[in-house]
Amino acid sequence: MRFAATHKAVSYLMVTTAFIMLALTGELPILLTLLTSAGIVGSFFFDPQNQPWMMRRAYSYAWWALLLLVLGLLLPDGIRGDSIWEGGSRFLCVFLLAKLWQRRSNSDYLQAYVASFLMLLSASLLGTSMVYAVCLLFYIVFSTWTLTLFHLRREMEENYLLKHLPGKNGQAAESERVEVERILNSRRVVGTSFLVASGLVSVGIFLLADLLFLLLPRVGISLDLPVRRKGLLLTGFSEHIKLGAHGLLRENAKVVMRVQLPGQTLPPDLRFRGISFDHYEHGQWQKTHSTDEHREPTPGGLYLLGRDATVQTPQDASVLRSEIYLEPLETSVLFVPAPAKTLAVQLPDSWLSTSQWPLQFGGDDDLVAKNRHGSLHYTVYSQRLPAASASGSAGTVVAPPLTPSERQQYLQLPADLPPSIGQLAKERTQGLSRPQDQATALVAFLQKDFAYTTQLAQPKHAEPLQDFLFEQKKGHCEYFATALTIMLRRLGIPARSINGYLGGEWNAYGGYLIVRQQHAHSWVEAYLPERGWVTLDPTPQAGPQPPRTGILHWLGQFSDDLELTFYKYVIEYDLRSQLQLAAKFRRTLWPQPTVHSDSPSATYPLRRWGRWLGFGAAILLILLMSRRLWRLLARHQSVEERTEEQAKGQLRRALQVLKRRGFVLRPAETLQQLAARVDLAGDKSAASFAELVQRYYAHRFGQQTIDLSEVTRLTRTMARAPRSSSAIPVGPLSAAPEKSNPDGG
Amino acid sequence: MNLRLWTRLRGVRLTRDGGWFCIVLLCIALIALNTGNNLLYLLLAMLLSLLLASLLMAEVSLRGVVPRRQPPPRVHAKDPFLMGIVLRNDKRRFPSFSIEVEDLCEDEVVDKRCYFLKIPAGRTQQTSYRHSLLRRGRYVFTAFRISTKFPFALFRTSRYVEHRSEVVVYPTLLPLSHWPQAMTVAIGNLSMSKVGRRGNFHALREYRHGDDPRDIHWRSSARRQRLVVREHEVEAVQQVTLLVDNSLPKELHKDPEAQLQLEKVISWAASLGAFYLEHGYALRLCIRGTTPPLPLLVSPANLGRLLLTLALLPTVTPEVPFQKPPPPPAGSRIEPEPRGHGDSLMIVRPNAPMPPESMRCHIVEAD
Repeated sequence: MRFAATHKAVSYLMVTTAFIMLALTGELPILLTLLTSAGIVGSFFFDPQNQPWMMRRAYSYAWWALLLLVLGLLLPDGIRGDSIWEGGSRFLCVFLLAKLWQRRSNSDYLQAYVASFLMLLSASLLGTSMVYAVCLLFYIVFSTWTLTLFHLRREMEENYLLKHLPGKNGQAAESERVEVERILNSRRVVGTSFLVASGLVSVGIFLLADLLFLLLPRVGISLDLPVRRKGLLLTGFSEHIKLGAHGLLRENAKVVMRVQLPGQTLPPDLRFRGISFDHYEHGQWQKTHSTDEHREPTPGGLYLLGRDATVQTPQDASVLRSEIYLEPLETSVLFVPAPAKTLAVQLPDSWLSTSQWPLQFGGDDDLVAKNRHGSLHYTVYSQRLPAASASGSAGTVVAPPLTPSERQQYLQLPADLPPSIGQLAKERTQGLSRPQDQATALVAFLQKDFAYTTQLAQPKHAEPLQDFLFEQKKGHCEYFATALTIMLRRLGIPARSINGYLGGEWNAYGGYLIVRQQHAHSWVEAYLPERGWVTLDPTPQAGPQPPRTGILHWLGQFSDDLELTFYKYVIEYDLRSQLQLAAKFRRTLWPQPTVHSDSPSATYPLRRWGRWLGFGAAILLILLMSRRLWRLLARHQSVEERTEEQAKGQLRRALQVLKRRGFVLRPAETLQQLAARVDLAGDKSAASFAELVQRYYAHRFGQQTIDLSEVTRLTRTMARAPRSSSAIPVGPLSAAPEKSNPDGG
Repeated sequence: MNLRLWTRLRGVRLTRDGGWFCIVLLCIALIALNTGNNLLYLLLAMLLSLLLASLLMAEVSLRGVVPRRQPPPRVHAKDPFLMGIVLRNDKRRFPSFSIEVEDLCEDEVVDKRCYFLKIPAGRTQQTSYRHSLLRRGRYVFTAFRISTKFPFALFRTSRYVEHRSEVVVYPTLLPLSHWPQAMTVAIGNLSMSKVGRRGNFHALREYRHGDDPRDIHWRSSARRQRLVVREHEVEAVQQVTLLVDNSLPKELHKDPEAQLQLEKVISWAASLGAFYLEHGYALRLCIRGTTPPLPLLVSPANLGRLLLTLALLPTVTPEVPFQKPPPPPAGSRIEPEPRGHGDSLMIVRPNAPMPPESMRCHIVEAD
């Protein structure tokens, strides 16, 4: 491989990998991503050395002007307080393009490498995906190649390779500079073996980096860095929503969270409660009751809910422990399993200061974590409630009685609510006096007489509910929940609308639940006397979905599990994890002896491990001795002998080539005579063979150093030489025939 | 071996790029510790691994590399010469990249570096560096320093390899166009029983393939019915004695100007000697000292002996006598010529003392 071409190729691989890592964080605008990609690819095919217009000063000035312009556009955003890293990432893209399109000297290459490293740094700060780790491995491989070749190239150009021409009596005469271009185009400097060997070294570097990653101390300090990762925009979880948008997420498969239920079975009808709304007006829900109640956690980071709440032991079957891994979201709402009574929430140890990462109780039993960046892992302990009844009520949440203001809040109705809605509620609950029965009747009415659809026509009335209840009689979950909430309020039953997620996709490979945007759902919580808040779901249930199968589905689950594993063991790796790992390692090497064990190996663990260590040492010793024995038994060759053997081997190959071409070395014929015979016959390989013989003789008898690569090249040239049809092998050379005197004299 | 030199030459040093690398590494370490961002920790671990790998690969590159010196056949003071450096890679499988070799002369590093881009496994490569040594004498090249910045130019890893070579630096040969022609009116021409092309008849012998046909003695050949050629004695050569006074008063031994003047004189002596030998003169060197004198030098091939003697000529005090002249070579005879001037004697010494009366000579003094 030509040195210069190889250097260029691996440089591009390195910078492209870094750019891909940055692009995959999603922080770059689409247009910039596309332009940068096109620019990188395009610059590969335009070599500034070969394009006169790219060597002009005006060209350089144009790029400088562009860079200054971009900097001028991005700087105000940074001054205003927007994320510096986002603006910096965009500038880096333009800077990288400028350097790639002006690849004239080593400094341009070096600046491109620096830009790629800064891109890597930005990707570390802006992303958390597992793809980062995969790309990092490739970056390490490519950067090892690139930096090595860059070093060789720079050394070559800066060392002024000179060829000294010997003068008289060994005195130095003139010196001429070796053409660096010739070396740059040489194929002898680097080859496949070089790339393979350095690639293996890079894999070793990656593995060592993993080990160091585990060992580097996590001191537990986690101060805020002005990096704000862009989270997934969730429709329906802000404090003000418009009816309709939340239910239209059926096609959105983006993952919102992953839920592990260690050692527990997946409860049926598991849903995740997010945010509740209490004020309704003309198709819009609003959360008016919002508090900033702040509670101190226990020393273990556990936030207890309820004044006398205590967390049951994990073995208690009534306690559901949910490990929730939340993706970066644009909302600060925390999701908790429902229907259940949330007992406690545990946050990561890295959140030392609650003033920085406060967990708030936002009223209406909502949990909010403000000022949260990036992914989040938290544990929710909740008490299971009895299974849902056929009427659709899914358990109760026991709560203290409502205060008058709360009652008023949850009975709020729009001033201009059409009376037909109230009449409809009364008709459907005629003869029923108990609120529970009324709620059940309304749920049944909505489930049976209405259909589910996400395709809604334009509403004719100002009040969308009127359209839903009397005109279209079909809609999605938000309409059902809103309708039930309003009708219950009309009947004097306090109710609120809840937005959250229902169910999820079970990942059989990893054993956890994947909750996606398409699982978004709305339901109702109604306050019933002596039962508290009851979960009601009026939306008609769709039939059971056919299980997804196929290799793509399996691959999707596998990659999702990798993503979760990456998050758990890399992103979340903290001081506690480190200590746990160290303790586990220690227990593995030195297990604690049990009280009742009489086995010596249990009492003296070193004895057991000592056997293994001794066995391993014995194997290592045998291997080392074998190597030594092999070297003793094998004929030890000096470098000169090896060279001699190799030269002879090349000569044998050359004779084989000649044999195939019809020239066989006769007994008592010298190589030179054979070369002359081949030359006489007019064979195209004659010149190469003659030179090879000359070199061999000079080495064999003249004690001159032989260049094996040249000899190999000559042999190959001989093999590739076209066969001349007119070449006829001739016999061995003989003395010139004596001229016979025709006169007999 | 000089321990201080050893510690100075061996080891690992950070390059400028390595310094920047370490600064970046420290910054990332601080940010990672500050934020607790595990991806930054991963990046930090990668940089640390690169650092360790750099050291390891440099060691592998330097291992098994053996440098050797190939000095030129003759080195003169102040004249640039090419010192050949041969580098051999004894490793069986791994090539060595980016090797720099520096020579050590008298335990000081010569400020010329030889660079080898790549030395394949089991191969040898050769290059040279131009150098000049200012003064005549014996120089000892003691060792090599081989270093590399491979693979990432973060560190310069060096190793010290002992290899001793002695180089004798001959005096500078000055251009003789500036020197007044020696008036070499010889009286003691020396002739020797040595066969030559011209000169007195020596003997007849049979013709051998390659003999000059002009030497065929036809009369004898006809008589003997086979070709016979004449052999001649070497022409009588003129003899020149170079008297070099290599003494300085004791108080001037450390005087740089006096030393410089003496060096100049020795250079003149060497230049004269080379001139006369090349022009077929027989040369005798006469210096102060107790060592046995050089035999008579009769051909240009003996120039090396003359230069070697002059190169190693020590500075002595005036009390040290001149060497006794060597006896004439065996088989030679002196043919006195009635010229009355005696041997040609070149006294190469400013303000040289008069030679002994017994030596009749024509004196030419050096400037």
